[in-house]
Amino acid sequence: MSENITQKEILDIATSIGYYILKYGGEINRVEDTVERIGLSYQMDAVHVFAISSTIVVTMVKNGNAISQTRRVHKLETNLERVEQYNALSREICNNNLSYDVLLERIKQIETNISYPFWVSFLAYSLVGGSFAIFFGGGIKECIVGFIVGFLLRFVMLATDKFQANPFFANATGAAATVILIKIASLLLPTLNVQTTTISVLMLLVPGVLFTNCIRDFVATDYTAGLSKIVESIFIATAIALGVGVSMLWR
Amino acid sequence: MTNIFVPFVSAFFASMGFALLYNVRKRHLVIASLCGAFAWMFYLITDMFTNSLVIPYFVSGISIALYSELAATIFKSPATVFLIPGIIPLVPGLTIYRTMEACLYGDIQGFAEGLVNTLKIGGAISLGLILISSFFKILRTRIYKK
Repeated sequence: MSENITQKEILDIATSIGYYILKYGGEINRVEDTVERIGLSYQMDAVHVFAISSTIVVTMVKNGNAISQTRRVHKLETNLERVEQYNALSREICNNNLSYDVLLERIKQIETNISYPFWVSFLAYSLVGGSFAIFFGGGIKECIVGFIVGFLLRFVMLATDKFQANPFFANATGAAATVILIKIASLLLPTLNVQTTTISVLMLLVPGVLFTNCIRDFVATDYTAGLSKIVESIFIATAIALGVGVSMLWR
Repeated sequence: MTNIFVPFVSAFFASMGFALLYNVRKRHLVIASLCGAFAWMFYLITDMFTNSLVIPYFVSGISIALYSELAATIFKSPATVFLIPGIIPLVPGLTIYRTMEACLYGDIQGFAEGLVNTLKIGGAISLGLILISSFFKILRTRIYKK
């Protein structure tokens, strides 16, 4: 072990990096592997890591002295750029052991780095809404309506974020708003294919990636993580179906 | 030609939208979105030759994993960066939604069918992904040891 870092500090850094990779959407496998590698590169005798999508527990053993740390992940927010940066940082740690202060500085730097300006998320919502309309066989009308409704849906989701709404409520509201907006659009454009447009905008909310990742966890033998994700995706899908059902009452 | 080209372009932009939402770095943006477009093309081509529900998904799962592992090796970044935007056109989002809709409207048969289909699709994609990533994992450990 290098002189400028204690066992406690190594544990702290490794747990932080694991926590952030988990939070920003890295696979469970990657999280556990990264934390273990960091610990072993600082000559720990043993490193034990357990991660599920909401918690990470790390224990490091050195000369018979075991200490451990736990972090709770409250909200997953997928940010693949940060996953990439933490991955690069952990590789650097394994190649040459950095000191505690440098590491703290690097983590702070990654956390404050913003990759895209705020308006890009509006563009992304519109892009998804519009292109899925074509993808599901719609025409140019469906594409334009999907584009606009996707843009407006971003406002609704921002509002639910602002009030820190429960995910069930947030998704139900988003789905209901989508259906109502498309119904208004169909009043203006009577020949609009309502079903195609609705489905294409709802692709922004449905937990398809979450579900596929949970099966991936099952196949990679992380059963507990997979179970919690499958429950989450069923929960969100129910909320969306409920939101659509409620707003269908208005004809 | 148009029946391949239009889905290719729309899958590309759909993947790009999600790649932007997931903060994929600017220099990987086009590469990651192309992953989704190629995956959907593989799906459509395989779908022409088979009546099975799962085989096209399995084949395109394999193509996504191959593409992202190669891109990851070239750009020295984790494969997830290319993989997550790549599976966007394939994920069973629509099937999940239809399943829960059937459940809420009391259509038990539709619900059961949807549930089985969702599991089949999800399983087929993930099996394709896992197959290739475990292969690359073995390959990398062997190269490191030498």
